[in-house]
Amino acid sequence: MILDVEIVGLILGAGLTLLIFSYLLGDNPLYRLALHLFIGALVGYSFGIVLRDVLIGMLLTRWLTEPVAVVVPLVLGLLLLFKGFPRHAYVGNFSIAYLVGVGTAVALSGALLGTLVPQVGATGRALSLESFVSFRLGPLDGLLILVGTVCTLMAFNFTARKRRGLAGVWARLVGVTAWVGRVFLIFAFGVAFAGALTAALSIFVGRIQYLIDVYFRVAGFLGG
Amino acid sequence: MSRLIKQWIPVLIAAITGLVVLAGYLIPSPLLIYYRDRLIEWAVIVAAFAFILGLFNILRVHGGRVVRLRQGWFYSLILLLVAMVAWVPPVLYGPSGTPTRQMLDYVIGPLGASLAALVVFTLALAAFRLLRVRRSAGAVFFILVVAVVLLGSTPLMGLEWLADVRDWIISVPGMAGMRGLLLGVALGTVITALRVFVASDRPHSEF
Repeated sequence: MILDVEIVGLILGAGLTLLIFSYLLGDNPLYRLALHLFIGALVGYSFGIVLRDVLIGMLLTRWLTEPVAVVVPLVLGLLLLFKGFPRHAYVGNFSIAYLVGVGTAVALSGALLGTLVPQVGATGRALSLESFVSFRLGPLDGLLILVGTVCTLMAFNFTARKRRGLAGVWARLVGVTAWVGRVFLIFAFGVAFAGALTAALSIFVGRIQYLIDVYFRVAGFLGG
Repeated sequence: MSRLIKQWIPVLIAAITGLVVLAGYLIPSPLLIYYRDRLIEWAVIVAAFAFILGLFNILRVHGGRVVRLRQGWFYSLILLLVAMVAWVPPVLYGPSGTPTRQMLDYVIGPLGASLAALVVFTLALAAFRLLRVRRSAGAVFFILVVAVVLLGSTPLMGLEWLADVRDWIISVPGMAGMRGLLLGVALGTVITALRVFVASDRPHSEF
């Protein structure tokens, strides 16, 4: 009887699944072994992808054809490695600054064009006639979305409040809207929590199904 | 001179590259878009070196533990051995090669999915602990929302109205709360980015 790669792989996968599930009995050496194995495999796999796609695919290939185009990232990359030596770590700050600058700009444009503009537009459209038709309670739902969004934003107000005069009245008004906002936040977190629970439960059921499938595959294989 | 090199050059690099990339996103000019793409491509290469730096750190920490036979050395040895083997298939056969697929299907996939499956117990336990430790109106209301959304997703006989309530919670108050949260995060991102550009925040510099 010759064991094929698929059967060995399935048994390996099932064994690793059981090692991880052993955590349900408490933290134990088998779980820690599986965890370190997972981290090692992920680190190795990621390094392989980075080496193949970026360092060979983007850097070395371009270096052989058009060296000038990759001099700057190569120099910045090599400078970054100085971060591993505490006495000369400041040399790596140029590369970190470059990454921070580009990363910040990408995040800023993503926040502006991907979140702020579309979400503000969608909140405004909640009060349009087209939206009323799709809502269960019509205009009331649209109003709730608008009020809820504004109040939720007010819930992130962490400045000190004045207590006297008109400023005090305004502070109390802000306090009330922030409280309403926290109620809407509870709704949002509740929906997110239920979604995460449902997704995790689906994955758990999938793993149990995987173990059952492996059992029948191996039993069928051994039975001929 | 030292102050200029250590403090101001990183600030200038971050501000200039950031503003060029941002202009490439906001202004529809072919030249700016070209520079934006080129700068982002370079950032990917520099980030690869950052990954290598992280890899060296892992090797140093776990290698040191193995050499000195400190507590947990065996786990570190496993981690290092697996990492030394796992980088070979993607390099030699590519991400969609058979050995790479087998490594993903039989090792990384099952381990990752099993860890994700454990989250269901963590979340359920967290919900029970919330009710036990903090019995406030907010906590009870939160659990109530979770229960309605979960029960509304199941086809329970006689409780079909719960599905309607669930849909309403998701599409009206849940949506409003999440939208406020998203807008808050986006505003925070914008403010943090502007502080980096005007050098009020200097995560890359030593002053």
